[in-house]
Amino acid sequence: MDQTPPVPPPPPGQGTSLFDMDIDAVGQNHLNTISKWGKFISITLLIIILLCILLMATQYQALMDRVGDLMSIDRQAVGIVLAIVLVVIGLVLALLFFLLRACSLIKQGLITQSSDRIADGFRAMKVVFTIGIIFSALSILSTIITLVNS
Amino acid sequence: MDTHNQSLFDLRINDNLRIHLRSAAVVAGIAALLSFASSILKVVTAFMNKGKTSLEYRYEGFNQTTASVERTSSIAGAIVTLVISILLFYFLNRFSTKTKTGLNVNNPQIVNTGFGGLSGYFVTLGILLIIFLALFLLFIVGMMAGSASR
Repeated sequence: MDQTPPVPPPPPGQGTSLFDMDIDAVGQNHLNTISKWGKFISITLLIIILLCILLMATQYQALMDRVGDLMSIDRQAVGIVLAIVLVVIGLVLALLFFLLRACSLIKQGLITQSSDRIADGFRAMKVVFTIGIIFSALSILSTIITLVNS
Repeated sequence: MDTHNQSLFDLRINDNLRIHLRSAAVVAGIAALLSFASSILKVVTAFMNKGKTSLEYRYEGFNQTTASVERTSSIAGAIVTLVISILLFYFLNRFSTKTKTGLNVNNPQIVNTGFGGLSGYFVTLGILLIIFLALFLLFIVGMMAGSASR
């Protein structure tokens, strides 16, 4: 007669699978906070940036003249400066869009208790951090150029 | 008898979530380091340029008050930037390191600490956003009051 030894209960905090882990109430609370504040930040900044774009579009001519006067450059150079500004605004908008998407997916995952939704949320969050890396790298480059020139 | 251990919480860290969480944590770690490096470089640049600004003002022989105000605000701005950067770096780095460690050793409590770091990061960003918006509104109200009193 074969006797199977009793299966010891899993240690606290460990799930049924060898590799799966539970996200307990504390973890879910943290994810909820991430989602709530991330949404607040992204929506607020999106509204501010859209208002700025609207202002730029309505005051385009005055803005072109003002930038030209301030930086003492011709109209073509002003166009290049504005193009760079538009690229940066595009990157910021992409960052905020992915942040909003990440937070919405994490929230949906918490409501439906779906790990895959939360995984999609963290995939979008990875894009947010990647755009953050691009901004930091550009900032470091710009600061180094300023330091070398001064 | 059902030996399957049902968890109290349905939300689990499955393979999909594990992969995306780990990659988000890795990218967040790089973003935190680059952002911190960028801030330190900016502070160094501010302190280096501070001497130059005050020197130019001295050569002019007037506007000493403007020079001292600019110097003080530059130093204050650099210190505030550094404090904010340290705080944000701490939270994002905590998310990165704790989440990676928790996933490696299969410990949900450490992963929760990582989530706590990310939630602290977003709460800090949100509070800073509220403070800056409040200061901006105060500035606008002050400007309007100033122009109305003329």
